[in-house]
Amino acid sequence: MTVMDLRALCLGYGKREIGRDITLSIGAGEIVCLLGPNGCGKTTLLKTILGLLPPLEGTLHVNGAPLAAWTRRELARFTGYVPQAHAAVFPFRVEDVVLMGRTAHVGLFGAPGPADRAVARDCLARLGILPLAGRNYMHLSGGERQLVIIARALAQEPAVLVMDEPTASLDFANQIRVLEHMRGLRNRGLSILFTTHQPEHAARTADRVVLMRDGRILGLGAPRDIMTPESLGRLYGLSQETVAENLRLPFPDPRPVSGPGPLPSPTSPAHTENTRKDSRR
Amino acid sequence: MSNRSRILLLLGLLILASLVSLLVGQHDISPATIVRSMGRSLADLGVDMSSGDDVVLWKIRLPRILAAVVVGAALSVAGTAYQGMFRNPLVSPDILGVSAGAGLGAVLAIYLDFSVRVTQLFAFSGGLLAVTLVCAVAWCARTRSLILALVLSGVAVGSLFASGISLIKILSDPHSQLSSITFWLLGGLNTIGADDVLGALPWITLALAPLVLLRWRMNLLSFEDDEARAMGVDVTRTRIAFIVAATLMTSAVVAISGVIGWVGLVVPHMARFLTGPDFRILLPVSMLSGALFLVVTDTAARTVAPVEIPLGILTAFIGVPFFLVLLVRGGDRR
Repeated sequence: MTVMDLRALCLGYGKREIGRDITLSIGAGEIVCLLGPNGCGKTTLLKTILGLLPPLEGTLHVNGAPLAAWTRRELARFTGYVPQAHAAVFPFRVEDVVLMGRTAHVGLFGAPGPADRAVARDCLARLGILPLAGRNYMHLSGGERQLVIIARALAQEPAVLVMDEPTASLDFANQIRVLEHMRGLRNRGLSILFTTHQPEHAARTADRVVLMRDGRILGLGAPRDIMTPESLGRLYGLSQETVAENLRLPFPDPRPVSGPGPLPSPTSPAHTENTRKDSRR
Repeated sequence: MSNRSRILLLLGLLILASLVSLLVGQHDISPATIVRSMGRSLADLGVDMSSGDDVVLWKIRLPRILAAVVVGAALSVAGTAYQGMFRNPLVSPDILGVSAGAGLGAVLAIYLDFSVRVTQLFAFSGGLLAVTLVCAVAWCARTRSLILALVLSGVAVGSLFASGISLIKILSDPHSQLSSITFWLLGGLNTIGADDVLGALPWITLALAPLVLLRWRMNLLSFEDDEARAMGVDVTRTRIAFIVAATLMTSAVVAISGVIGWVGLVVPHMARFLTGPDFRILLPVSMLSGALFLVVTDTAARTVAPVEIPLGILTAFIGVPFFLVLLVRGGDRR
C-alpha cells in the first residue's frame, strides 16, 4: 500500500523553484531517507509533503487522495512532523508538550481530556521517557528533547512520520537511540520519511534511499544497491576515492570502486517491492 | 498546590484587597459602617446619599475598585495573549500600537474640546485603527515571518502616532488642555465612574470569548508556525482571532483608564511564575492576578501620599522591580 505518492512534482516558494520532477512513492511500513548536500531541496520537499508549501506543479497524493482535498486537521492525524530538536520559549512540562500532539483529535474549541492524556503518556512510555513526563521541557538535553518531539508526533497517531534531520546535534549514544526507535516504529507499521547528512545513518536505518541534488532525484533504491562510492561521490561532488576512504558502510561495496555502473531508475516499482521484502527479513 | 487552590487563593486575596481598599483613604470608613450600609442596600432600604460615608462608599470607592478589577484583569489577559502568540515573553499589549493609537485619539479629542464620552470613543477607535494599520502593513510585507513584520510595523506605526501626540501637545493650550492631555496619558482610575466600566464590559466580554474558546490552541502557537500547522492548527486564523480579541480588550480598557503601563507585561510573568505556561490555567490566573495587582496599586496610589499619585507611575514603581526580581531569580521557570 502506498501512503504518499508524488508524481512529477515541482516545488518551491512562490516563483522561486527549488525542486523539479520529483517522483517518489512511500509504502506503508517503510523507512525512506532523503540524502543530499545542503540546499538540495530536502527541507522544501518535506514541507511540501506536510502541506505547508503548495506544490508548483505535478500531483501529490496522500493515502490515495490529492493533498488539496485534506483539511489541516485530517492531515495532522495521518502525518506527524518531527522538526529538529529546538529550544522552547515557554517552560511547558514534557507531558503537556506531548499532549499538544493530540490537538487534531480534539474539537476546535475543545481541550485534551483524560483519554488524550493517557495516549500522551503511552507515547512517552513507548520511547522509554515516561520518567521525563513532569520535567520542564526547557531543562532537557538535546537528545531528550528530540525524543519528546517524536513522542509528540506519535501522539497524533499518524501513519507517516516526517522527520527533519532527527539525529542532527545529538551525541553518539542519542543518535543510535533515535535510529533504533525509528526502526522499532517501522516494525510496528509506521512509515517514516527522514533527512540526514550522515550516509551511515541512511545505510543502517532506511529501507530505501533517495539521492537528491539541485532539486532533482539522482537515484532511488535500497541502500545496498544505490549507496556506492560512485553515486555518493556524484551526490556530494567528491571523488570516489575520497568517499571510499571516509565512509564505512555496513554492507560490502557491491561493485569495485573503478567500475561505475548505471544508477537504478528512480521509478522502478518491481525494484521497490524487492527492497521492502529484503528489509523485512 | 493544585491549580484550583491557586485560583481560590487569588480570589480570596482579591476579595480581601478590595475590602481593605473600601476602608482606607482620605475619608476613613469603619468596617461597621460598611456592613450597615451594605445591609441597608441588600434589604433594599435605599442608600442614604445625604450621609458622607455612603456617598464615598457607593459613588467613589466601589466604582473605582470595580474599575481596578476590570482594567487589571483585561490588561493582564491581553498581555498574556500577546506574549503567547508572539512567542515572546517581553511583549506587552502596546506591541501593535494600541496605546499610541488610543493616546492619539484621546489627545485629539481633548485638543478639539470634545466631551469625555467622545474622548473615550476617539481613544477606542484610535487603538483599533492603529492595530488595523499595523496588521495591514504586516500582511502586505509577509515575505517570511508574519511575526517579525507585525513587530516592526508596530514599532514604526507606534512611533508615528507618538509623534502625532507630541505635535498636538505643542499645539494645545498649555493652561487647560495640556494638563488633561498629560493626565490622560499617565493613566488612572480616579475619573472612572460605574457607567464607564459598564460601558466597557460588553467589549471586554466579547473579546474574552475567543480567548476562552481557543485557550488550548494558544499553547500550540508557542511553537514554530510550521510545527503548529503540522499538528492541525490553522495558525494564521488563530493568531488573527487572538490579535483581534486582545486588541479589542486593550482598546476598551485604555479608552476609559488611559495608558496604564506595566500591568500587561508584569502580570503575565507573575501568572506564569505561579502556574506555568498552560494557557488554559494561565487565563484565569492572569485575570485574577491582574485584578489583584491593580486594586492594590490603585489603593496605594490614593493613600500613600497626601496628593494622589498617577497610577501609571506607581505601576512602574512596583512593576519594574518586581519584574527585575523575577528576571533574576526566576530563571527560565517564568
